[in-house]
Amino acid sequence: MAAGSTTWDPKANREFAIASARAFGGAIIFSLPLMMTMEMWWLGFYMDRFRLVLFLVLTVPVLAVLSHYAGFERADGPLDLVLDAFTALAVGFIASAFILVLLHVLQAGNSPDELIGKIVLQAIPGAIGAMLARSQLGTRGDDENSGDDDPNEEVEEARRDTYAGELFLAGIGAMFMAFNVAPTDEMVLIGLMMTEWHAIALVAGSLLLMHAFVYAVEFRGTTRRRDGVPLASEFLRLTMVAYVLSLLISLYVLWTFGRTDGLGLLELVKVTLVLGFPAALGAAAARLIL
Amino acid sequence: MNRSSDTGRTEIPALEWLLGSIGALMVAGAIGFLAWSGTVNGESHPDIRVEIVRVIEQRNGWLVQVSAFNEGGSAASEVTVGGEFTAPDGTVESAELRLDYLPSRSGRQGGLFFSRDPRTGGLKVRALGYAEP
Repeated sequence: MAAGSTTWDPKANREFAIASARAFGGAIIFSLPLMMTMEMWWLGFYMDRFRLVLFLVLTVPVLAVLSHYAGFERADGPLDLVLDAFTALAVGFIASAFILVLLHVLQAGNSPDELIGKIVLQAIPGAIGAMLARSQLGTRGDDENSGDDDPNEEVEEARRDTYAGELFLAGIGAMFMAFNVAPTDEMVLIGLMMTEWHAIALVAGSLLLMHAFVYAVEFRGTTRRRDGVPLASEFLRLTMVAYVLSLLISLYVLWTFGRTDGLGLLELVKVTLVLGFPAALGAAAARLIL
Repeated sequence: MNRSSDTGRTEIPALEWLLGSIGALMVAGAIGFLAWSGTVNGESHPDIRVEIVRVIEQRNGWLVQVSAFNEGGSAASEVTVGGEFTAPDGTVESAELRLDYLPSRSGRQGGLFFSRDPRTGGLKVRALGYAEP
């Protein structure tokens, strides 16, 4: 049978339906804190339309690549990955519309622009949550009995253990944490409250915590330091790169939400470092969670 | 049907095509609508129409329910709505309310309190000002 052909086999379809149902659970769990954040509702109608469209467009390839490393169902081949990305977005859209109606955030007097803006903005974290549903809610083999009967899980594990895989997942973790706190006014406020010395200390603290997360903590999924590789090189190779990645993602998220508009350079740097702190922890923790 | 080999499965369930297509349509629709809305509204400004919904006599005075509708293409925050009238004895009584946000082409409601019957003296309501979100 050629790859990518359609099957009507009830068992395969049933498995996909179960995976999708789990994806709904993931979408709701991951995006509920954001759905209950009023800044997110406001951003839904006032944020720049071009930035919102760009954000949505960029989400599609990110979800497809995420599906390669930690999808909500077994996927392989570019077509399957892209389909999974759109399925996750469908789940995100439906879940966010459903919850926002339930919470009466979407009301009769709202214009189409307001309704769609609110749903789209919440659908993006929802889709990421949907994609991560299997690693969060699904069954998976524990490390203790790694001889489990799911070779696909091991294929994904092997993919995640590559350098590109580790950095990508770090980026997803950073993105998720940044997304969760960036909409609030506190990010800019903290940035304004901090002195330059606090900002420098925050950089050191972020890097230290990241490195501790990734290497010192011997929890499940932490990268085991390869023998003979000096600590300093691992620090530069992974921790530093992941931190820079976190800062870039923070800056992008801040720009998307319009938080960078009209900010002076010093304030911009400080606010990016503030958001970079949770983002960096998200990046470091991603490897533990996924 | 080698679902669990290194190459993964070779067939895509019909349900996946269905959900995937729904997702693609939703994304395309949202992008189309948002791009259209962003282009049409461009650099327009809030344009707020304030109307009196009804005047209610209460135990502690009069309540004037008002609705504000933003006919402009961009959202306004901290919208102040004011109302005033001239009482029969010549004194001017005014009241105001603040709406946190008024998105474009959307409406919000609120109320103004007066101590005397505002219907007697040519009650006027209007938007006083706003801040950009």
